[in-house]
Amino acid sequence: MDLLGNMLGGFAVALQPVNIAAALLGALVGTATGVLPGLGVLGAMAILMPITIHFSAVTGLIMLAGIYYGAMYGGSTTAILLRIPGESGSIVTTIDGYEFARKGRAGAALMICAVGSFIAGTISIVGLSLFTTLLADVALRFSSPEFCLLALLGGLTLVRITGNDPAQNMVMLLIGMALATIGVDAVSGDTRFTFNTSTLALGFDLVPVALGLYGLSELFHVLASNEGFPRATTVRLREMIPTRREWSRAWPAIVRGSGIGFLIGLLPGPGSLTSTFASYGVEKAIARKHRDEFGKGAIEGFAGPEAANNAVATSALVPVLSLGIPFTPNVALMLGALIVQGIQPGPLLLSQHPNVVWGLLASMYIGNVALLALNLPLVGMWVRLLRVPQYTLIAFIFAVSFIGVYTMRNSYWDLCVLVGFGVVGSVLRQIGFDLAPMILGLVIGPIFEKALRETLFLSGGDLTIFVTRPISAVLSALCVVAVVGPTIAVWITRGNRLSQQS
Amino acid sequence: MDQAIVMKTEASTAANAPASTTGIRLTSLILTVAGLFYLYQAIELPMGDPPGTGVGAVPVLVAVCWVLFGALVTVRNRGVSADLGPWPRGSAALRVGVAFFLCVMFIVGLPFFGIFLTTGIFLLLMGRLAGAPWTSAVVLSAATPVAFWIVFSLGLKVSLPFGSLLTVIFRG
Repeated sequence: MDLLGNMLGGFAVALQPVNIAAALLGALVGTATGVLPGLGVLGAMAILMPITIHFSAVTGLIMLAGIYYGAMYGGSTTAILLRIPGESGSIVTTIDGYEFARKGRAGAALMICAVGSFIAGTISIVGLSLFTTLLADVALRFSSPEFCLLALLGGLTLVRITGNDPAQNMVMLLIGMALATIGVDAVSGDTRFTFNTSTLALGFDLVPVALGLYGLSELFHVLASNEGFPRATTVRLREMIPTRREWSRAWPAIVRGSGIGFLIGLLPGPGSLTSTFASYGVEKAIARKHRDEFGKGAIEGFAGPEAANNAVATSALVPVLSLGIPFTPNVALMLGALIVQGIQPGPLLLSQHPNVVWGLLASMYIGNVALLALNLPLVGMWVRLLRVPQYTLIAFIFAVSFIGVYTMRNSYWDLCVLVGFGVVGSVLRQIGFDLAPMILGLVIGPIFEKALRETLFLSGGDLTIFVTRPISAVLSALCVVAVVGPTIAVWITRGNRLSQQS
Repeated sequence: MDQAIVMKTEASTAANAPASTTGIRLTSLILTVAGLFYLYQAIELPMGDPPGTGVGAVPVLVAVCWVLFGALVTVRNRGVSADLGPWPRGSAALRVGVAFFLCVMFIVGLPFFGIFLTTGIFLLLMGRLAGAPWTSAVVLSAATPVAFWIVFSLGLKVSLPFGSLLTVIFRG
């Protein structure tokens, strides 16, 4: 009953005209971002984040969430039609989705993806509503040691799973955490690493850093490579409606993908990519009649992963809304948006700012319906977006980035940080460093530091507090597993292979 | 209803060269040196009582790990990942350099020339750099500042800088 009452309250917030407009704008920008290869969802969120801070917290958050799940919708369009994943979560769709389109069923593939995304999004929102409440209740029993370990677990898992090299990722995460220490210490109010300058005392704000690393560096890359966006030519597609046989194969995969995506989204790490591969693997493993079709246009091969991809976008919000700990850079930006608005995320967020949480959740229902309406009849328009001259997009995004960052604090220092991190991001990406851990480090750094110092203060400097409390002990064990687990798994696999060979 | 299928255009990356292991090591070395500098600054900060509760505790912990992992990446030889992008060379590198210069000029010019003039000139030059024809670049540079003014000043009620030079000229 509480849940129903809260949701009704949420809808009262979400149905305010400004919030409906924010959800629609976010969904539009997100879909466009997903369609256009190159500019990622993180870049788009970073570009619009300075604008969102001029609105209320709930409106800004609704807009950012709209971009996030809108991009997941839009990413499938280019994956199916072009074999170019608009987002990393659409990589798997390029395999069977593209092959299915080559059979002359592109329209049906797009319809299956759009409907599958809608179903997955809806299932995931219901799960999010339930899990957020449950986890927030559990999290009320958490104290500093648990929050410290949760922040550590989020960072370590991202370091271990993303990119090619955990050591490089670790360096990036630590640099992000180090950047977070510059400026005024949140606990004591002392200044650190400022060299007696007032500008450094302001610290490194998340927005210019993230926008530089992801937005500007991408623009520099596009200018360097001079790659045009793919060109679209319109033709008639009459086969938008999938056949009954195609539907009967697609919907079980969509339901399974939704479940897989939702569960993976709750865990630390890059859930979007992981869930799509997990869904693809499951579909391939359980396929009996059509296993030979995988890789050649199996419906299950893109219906499941696309559903999983969209379910993750929603369920990834559970940790940040209930615990205040982001596990991915995308939700880290959303957490940053809340902090900028003066709202401290955590277990008390639900009780202290129910309008923000339930308004966001209710807006996601609205956004999900809007996305279905945007994606099905307007597929042609989205693909035509690829015809917008590249120079227009480049110049416009540059200018929006500059004005947006400047208007946040009327600070020229933030503009310098933006350009500086744009250059640093370009170089690091070119070298092969993954930038996501740096963003996450910048966000979880202060959470980790505050929790660690409080823990050591409570325990009198005794580190055994991390293993003597039951929940802390479990989280400590998970941290150890996150660090050594993948290595042990590789050793075991290698050992099995060697024993089979011998 | 008209829908779309898409033809992929060719990418022109001929003027670029692949990244190298040396580049990874050199970058890691620079990052490690930066970590050492951060560590040097961090150890000056108080560690607190009990130890670990002061403002210097976490920075020292972060710095030590940073230096260790940075050194690890620097000394070992993992080879270059196959999916690494190419380094820009020739005209591509020049475009990036000019784009960076325009960004710096935007920051330098904004306090003096204000949002309209600075954004307009920036968009004109950046549009041309990105390959826009003169007509499109001029339209873009004229329309966008007005759009920004409508969105930020009128819509979001944010004060945008008018520019000190323009203030002197137009407002005395």
